[in-house]
Amino acid sequence: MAVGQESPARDASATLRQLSKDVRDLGRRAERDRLLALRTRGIGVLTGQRALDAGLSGPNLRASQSGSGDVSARLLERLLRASHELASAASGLAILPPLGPPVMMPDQVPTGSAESYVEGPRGSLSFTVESDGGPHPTRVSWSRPSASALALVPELLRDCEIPDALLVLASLDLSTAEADG
Amino acid sequence: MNGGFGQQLGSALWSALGTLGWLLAASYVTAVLTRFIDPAAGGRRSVRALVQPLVEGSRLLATRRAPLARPDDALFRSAPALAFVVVVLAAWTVPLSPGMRGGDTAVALFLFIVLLGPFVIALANAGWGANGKYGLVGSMRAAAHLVSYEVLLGFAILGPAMAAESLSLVRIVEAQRAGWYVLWQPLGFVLYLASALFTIYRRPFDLPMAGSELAGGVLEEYAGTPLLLFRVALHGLLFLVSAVGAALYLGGWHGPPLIGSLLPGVVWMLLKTLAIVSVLLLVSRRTPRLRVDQMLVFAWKVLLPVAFVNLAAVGILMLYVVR
Repeated sequence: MAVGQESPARDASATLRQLSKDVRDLGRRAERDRLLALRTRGIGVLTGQRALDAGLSGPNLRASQSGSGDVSARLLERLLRASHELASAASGLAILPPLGPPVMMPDQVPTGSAESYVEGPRGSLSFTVESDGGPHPTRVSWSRPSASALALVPELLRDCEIPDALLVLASLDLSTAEADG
Repeated sequence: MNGGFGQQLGSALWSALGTLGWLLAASYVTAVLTRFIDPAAGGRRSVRALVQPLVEGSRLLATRRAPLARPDDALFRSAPALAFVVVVLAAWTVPLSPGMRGGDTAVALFLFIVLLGPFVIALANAGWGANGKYGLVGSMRAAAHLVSYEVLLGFAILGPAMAAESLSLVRIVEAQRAGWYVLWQPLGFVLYLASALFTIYRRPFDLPMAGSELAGGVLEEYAGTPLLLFRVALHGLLFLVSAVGAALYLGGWHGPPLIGSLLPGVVWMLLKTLAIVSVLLLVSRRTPRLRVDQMLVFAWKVLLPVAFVNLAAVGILMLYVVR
């Protein structure tokens, strides 16, 4: 790796590490803030079993399994998770191997299907691609975390007051574009 | 007799114009301070914050509201004027210095509190008159607001009134020549600040107009001059509540001992008022918006009992220590 390439990666790594620390501090402050707790505890509660049944993943599921499953738990879980991910991104960047030659699309795509899975910030995303050997895939499908969370919204918002309803919605971190996909 | 009446009318007019003038200036200063202290409110911490309120105000004048479906026109149109007039009248009861006593009546403090009531009515009318869902919710919240703070505010100002044995703000300030009431009524001061938070319609108690929750709440449908009147009134209210706090607990225009004579009384009064404005804005910036039921519980179950304790303590201190 050339020396010139090394220092931007190190800079970015340091920035990410700092960001991770800041997010962790934010999480601690959010955890200690009693007024915030007053506003966010006990609303939008989702039990661990219900979250599993509904097919949730990522921070929404973990907040229900390891925490109380309310808005506060989801907020803290998300901040904790963000801090961890930023830290591991920083470590990953520090040991990033140099770029190899670009990967080219093969001329002949084999017939069959392939699956891939990635853990995104909102939960697990899995992709399935099917091909009949032609230049375009015959079928692409992906399962996405926001879709299952969106399906839970009517249930969670039932009997909610307006101010709580907004917090419950925000706490699910929905991406409608993703759910539509 | 006629000459006397004319003279009285003239002086009343001058007094009204003077009050209006300083209230507008105070609203401007508070608006600038708000932008400095709470950048989340759309401000920036630079020299531009000095002109921002004026620019925004003049821009606001050029806006027009969208037509409403069957509004209650009389209520909807009168609400901004009512809010503004109420704040100007409340300003008239607030003395800024021995030379600027405003309407120095024997019951100025009582008048001040009574005048804060119709402000809530104006907000409720605004929400109701617009004939919209959010406005209606805001209107009901305004009513809950009134029930929460009015009694509390009354009790929070009783301490100084007891100590000075008067409801005249000028008398209360004069009685603090020897020592500010905050020194022996700190709990009362904290209570007053807490109830002041209710009256300024900012977080955590901005429920009637809760920006993100109700899309503006009772002010949702307003634009142009009426909205500007509301905004000026709200900023003016923040200043007035702080000025009354300075008069009640911080000795008004009396400066601190030793350095008190360095600045004119009115400057001390302004400094104290702006200090209270800043404290209120800082607290407001750091607190999330409470729910209506939480606000009511906080006011009636937490603050009101504390206010009773404070009142008893002030009474005991007056009987056995201060005299």
